[in-house]
Amino acid sequence: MTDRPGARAVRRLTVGQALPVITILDAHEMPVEVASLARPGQALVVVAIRYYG
Amino acid sequence: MQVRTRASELTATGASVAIVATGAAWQAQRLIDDGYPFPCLVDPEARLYEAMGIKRLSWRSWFDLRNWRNYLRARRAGRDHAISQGEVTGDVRRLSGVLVVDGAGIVRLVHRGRTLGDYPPVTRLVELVHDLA
Repeated sequence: MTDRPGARAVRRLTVGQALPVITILDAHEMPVEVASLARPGQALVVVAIRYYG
Repeated sequence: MQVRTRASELTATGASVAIVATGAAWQAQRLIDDGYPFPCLVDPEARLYEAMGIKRLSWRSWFDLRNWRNYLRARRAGRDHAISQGEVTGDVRRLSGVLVVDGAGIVRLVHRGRTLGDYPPVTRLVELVHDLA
């Protein structure tokens, strides 16, 4: 879990907790917060695949 | 990829779906350019993977034939979500997972893959997002 860009993920997510700020990158390598991928008030499904390739 | 073929069922309730991999951003962009129905992102430092508790496959497991049998079984069942692009980038030993967050930002599912091709059935995801709507 991260609370700022560049921080290392350390704490494990558990069901029932609020999604913390986790920053990944979009296809242009620009930082994106995972939570921002959801539409307001709607669910979000993130599929973390093994790799592109 | 089953998630792709059932995209409309997942998004019918307003839910968003995103795909993340540890690989190269250009591959994510190529998928988007090819009309992939979901945002494709990258996590080169595996921040999300680490937060989700998704582990890396040990070398011992990598050479375990039982693991690859599971992988092939998952592929046949359409449950392998690796997206073939002809060139492997990123961390090939990183396992997979699925995160579902409700509209209030509360984590509702964290699936941590334990073997290659270990994803929850898409049917379960569809049911979950419908329940959360």
